Amino acid sequence: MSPESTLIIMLGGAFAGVLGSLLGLGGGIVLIPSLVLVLDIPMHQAIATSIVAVIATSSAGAAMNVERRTVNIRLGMTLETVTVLGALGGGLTASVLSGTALTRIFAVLLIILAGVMGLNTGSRNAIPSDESLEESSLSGKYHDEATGETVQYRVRRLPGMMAVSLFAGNISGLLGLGGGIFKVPAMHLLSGVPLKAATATSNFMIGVTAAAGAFVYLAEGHLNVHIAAPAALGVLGGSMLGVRLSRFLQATALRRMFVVVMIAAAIQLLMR
Amino acid sequence: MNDRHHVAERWISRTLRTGVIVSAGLMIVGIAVESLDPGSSRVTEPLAIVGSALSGDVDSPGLAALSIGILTLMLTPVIRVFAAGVTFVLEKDRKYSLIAAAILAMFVLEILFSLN
Repeated sequence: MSPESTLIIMLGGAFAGVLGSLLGLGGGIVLIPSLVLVLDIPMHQAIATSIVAVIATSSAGAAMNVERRTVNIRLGMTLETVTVLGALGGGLTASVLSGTALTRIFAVLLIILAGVMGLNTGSRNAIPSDESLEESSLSGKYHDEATGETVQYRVRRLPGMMAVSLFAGNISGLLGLGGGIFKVPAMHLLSGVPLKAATATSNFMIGVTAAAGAFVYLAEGHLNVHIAAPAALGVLGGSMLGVRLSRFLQATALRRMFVVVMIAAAIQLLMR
Repeated sequence: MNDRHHVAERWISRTLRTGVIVSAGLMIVGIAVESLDPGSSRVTEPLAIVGSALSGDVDSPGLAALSIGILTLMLTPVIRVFAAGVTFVLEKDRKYSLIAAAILAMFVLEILFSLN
């Protein structure tokens, strides 16, 4: 591949990383349509590229969150037992589907996510500290730097959360996304995990889930080093920049604009 | 949370950070070398490229570095599960040691399948 093409893929990855980070999504939701629609890369290769990029951003973010102690490691690893299975199933399903079928499934999911983003009115508050909570192996505690409080919580409805995680893992393996958009609300609303811990724990799990899907794409020969390496580096750099920019930018207007872009990209993908 | 938990967190965090830094470094070097001295190989699959490099057929060192970088990145979360498993064993936490072992077993089977 020419140095110019490598640079274009890297810049595309950086754009996806910045936007994904500002919108609180993984880079994949932006990267895959960009690779398919702009660079005319086959859908299976675009998904494999996105999975590698997702591993990079998740691992970098998780390293920081684990140090800050916002990740519930035991909850994350319990749920990983099903997300890995889901990702394996998703990857194997993708290997028997045609590029056109995968593109259509991705476009439909893009429209659903655009609808969810359009309806989302903002973040919800974390559950307040409760010193009376009994400690169990899945209970968690972290110090919230924003409020200066120690937040304690118990994990409820684990079987339901495992079912959602299995689905999120399946979507990750099938379409190359992190699946956080399903896991974070479920962990928060269904299992009572504070939003900050839910986001950090979901991100912690995404790397392992994506790796499970990535090995299927590797075995199927869809992982192209010329595309995956510059895209992963671009997304990694872009998401780090996005985290810094998010301190200065208001994401609400960007979210509304992105909903329109997602629907337009979905229509283009459906028409291919 | 006790000191043991903090040691586990430190190890998991270090594993992830080291994996990302090493793989990103290899990919940057690979892209730089490939841009300056592109090989004639048309192979694009990381396993095939690493396989050729291991058998002494290094047509493009840049591509080999790129491929090892990507494989290192893919293995980073797996090594993180191993690191967590080791800390659970040291903490004598049987339940989570078994959970880590189950996740690792799934990866070992999958990687063996990929290599074949």
